[in-house]
Amino acid sequence: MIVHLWRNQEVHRQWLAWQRFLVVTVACLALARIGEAAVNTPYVVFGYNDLGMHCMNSDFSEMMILPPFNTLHAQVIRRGLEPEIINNPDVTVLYVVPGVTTATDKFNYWASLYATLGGAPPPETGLAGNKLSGAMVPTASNDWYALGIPMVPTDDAGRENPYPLALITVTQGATVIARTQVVVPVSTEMSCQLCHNTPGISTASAILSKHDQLHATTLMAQRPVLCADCHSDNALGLPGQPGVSNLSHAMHGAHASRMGSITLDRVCYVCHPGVRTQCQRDIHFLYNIKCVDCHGDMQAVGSPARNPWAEEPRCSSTACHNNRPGFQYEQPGTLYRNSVGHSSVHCEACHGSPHAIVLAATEVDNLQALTLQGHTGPIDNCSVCHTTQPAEAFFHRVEN
Amino acid sequence: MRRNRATCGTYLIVSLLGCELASPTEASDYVISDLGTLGGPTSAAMGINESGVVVGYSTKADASLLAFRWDHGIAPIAPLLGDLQSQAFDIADTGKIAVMSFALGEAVTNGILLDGGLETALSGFAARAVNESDVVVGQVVVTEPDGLKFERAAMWQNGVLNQLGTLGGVSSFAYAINDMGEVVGKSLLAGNQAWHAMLYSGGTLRDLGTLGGACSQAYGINNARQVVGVADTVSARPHAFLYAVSASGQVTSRLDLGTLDGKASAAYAINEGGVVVGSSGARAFQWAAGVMTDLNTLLPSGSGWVLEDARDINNQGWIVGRGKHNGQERAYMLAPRGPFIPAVSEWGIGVIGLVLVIAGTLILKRN
Repeated sequence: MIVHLWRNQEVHRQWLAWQRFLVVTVACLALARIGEAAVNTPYVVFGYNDLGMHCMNSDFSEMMILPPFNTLHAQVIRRGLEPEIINNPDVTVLYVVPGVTTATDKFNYWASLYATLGGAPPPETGLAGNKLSGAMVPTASNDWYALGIPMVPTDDAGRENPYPLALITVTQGATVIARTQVVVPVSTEMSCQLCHNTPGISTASAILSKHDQLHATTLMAQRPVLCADCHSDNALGLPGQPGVSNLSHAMHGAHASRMGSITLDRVCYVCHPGVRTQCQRDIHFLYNIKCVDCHGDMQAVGSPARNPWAEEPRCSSTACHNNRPGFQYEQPGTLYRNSVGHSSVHCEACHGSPHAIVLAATEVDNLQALTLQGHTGPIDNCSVCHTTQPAEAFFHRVEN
Repeated sequence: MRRNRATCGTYLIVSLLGCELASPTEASDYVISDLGTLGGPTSAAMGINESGVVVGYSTKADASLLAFRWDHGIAPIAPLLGDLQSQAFDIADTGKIAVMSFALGEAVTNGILLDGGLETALSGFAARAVNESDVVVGQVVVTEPDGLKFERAAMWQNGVLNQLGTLGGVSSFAYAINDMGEVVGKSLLAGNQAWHAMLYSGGTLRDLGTLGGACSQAYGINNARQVVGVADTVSARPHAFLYAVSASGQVTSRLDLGTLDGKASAAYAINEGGVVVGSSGARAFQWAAGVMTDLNTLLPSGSGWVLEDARDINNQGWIVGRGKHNGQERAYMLAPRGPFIPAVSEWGIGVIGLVLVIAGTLILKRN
């Protein structure tokens, strides 16, 4: 029957045209996913961590590289035909991590005395004054944040968890108008002991002793030592000492030529968490793109010409995301984690944090998208924010 | 003459025994054991039973984290579940062990109840504690209508899993259970910005309150319904607490156990003698009869140890936890030297010793 019809070329052309129309329509519907959103409330909130992983020492009694310090963001949107980003005191944005409500009894950070950081901090309080639960404050970037949450990778039951889930709740008066869950990532898995392991002394003492030996310092006599007291560190906002290399240059530069005996697939996991933590858990990981593919090797990361924490991989490099018309993967001159698109929605809101850009390898990092739109991956369902399908085409940049 | 010498000898022996018993415990009276690791750089002990079997977790050389068992004087540290990523938190006197197994980044933690070589899988149930009747407590993950996932305290018994509810918030957690099946832990309150210690008893979940501040959570309970944990004081400082609870579940007394560092403390366990262990200022402590003692002061000088927390104590006063031994993070067991004596007996022995001294004196005087 069908063969007989194909003998009529005009019918054949019309049949092909209908096929193409049906295929394109189904594809558009699939992409737009109209009617598949799980959100049906007047407001929606997106949560995102700034960096995708925060490292901290496991022990602070002799030296400190990084304290417990985590920053959580949220963007609140009033849904509608023309959604509105809410950034005013009409609402309150609260955070809590139900499984992690204490930290002082788990790590000796709060028993430590680092004068540069103001001495021993109050119990359960981070450097910026925030605690494990509390209220976020509005930023100048149309979102909300809580700076320096002292999140730790051990929950109150004693279970190790570098990916605890925070509950973010938006209220208007006494009414909850939106909520979401997002990972507040943190790990202590820095395996310095793989090389710094002198019998009878701690890893920290082995490190400080070696530093004294190589650089004629007296760090062992000055414990506890904050590395950033001498080596400037943008992460802590400390200037270091004149003539002393910044911490990234010192660490990466000193170790770049000493990693030959390490046989890990991702050698960065020796120092950055980690073999067990696997902090690179994003879509790039799923495509077997390794740390060095974006960050470069240790020499590159530790280059004295690089401004650490401020100069990070560019998504829109010639080698990567550069061939999709109308799309920006970060704003010019701005890091991905600070960039906005699509009417000032933060990139991280839809795509996730660095190192956890969705589709992630971890279930907890995919939960927010699953909750908001019914499937994992980037937020690609317009009805998460739009109550009716917009007439104009989707624009990925800040403005159309 | 012979009778006088015998009498003097009796007096001497009795008095010496009395003085010895009445004298304060000295640092050399404790023995500390480094439990070692499974090959990695760290280990931590979480639970101990009356037979001196210790459970906890340790890293391996490949960075994996495994639950372990250590048999006092019998067997060295050994993994409980092969290479399965896991942590063990509690062991009953029956030898049953509550273990959590999980993959980092997964929303659900599984539990396993170990009985020798027999494993009872507790899928989706993070097993935290087990009592002498094989009742296991911990938490399960529930999914709310909007898709958000929260942990809720739960109890498993004979294959049946029941949730214990919350105090109004989205989450609750069960951390310990006594032999009467009474469970303690914490629950978020309505609004989810505060959490309180909770007691589940007789089918009812009760709010145990705080030391005057906003939050609290309970980590341990004994068969006398003495509950320990950490609670905020009126000055918003987290302090270890000891609550007495009646059979009807009412808190009859609340005691702030104080701190070692003047700032913060947390109590993790209490034995049947009412001796409490915990941590303050990154130092392990023992609290008994109103006195908080830094366990590090009980160690012989030059031991190389810094005991950072004490997680459990059995009725013989054997304590386990985590510390640093020559700078390396290690699970430890601290035990009084000599034959078993009830852990509550320091004051009792002192009284007995004094009585013996008096008796010896009277004997000599009569003769």
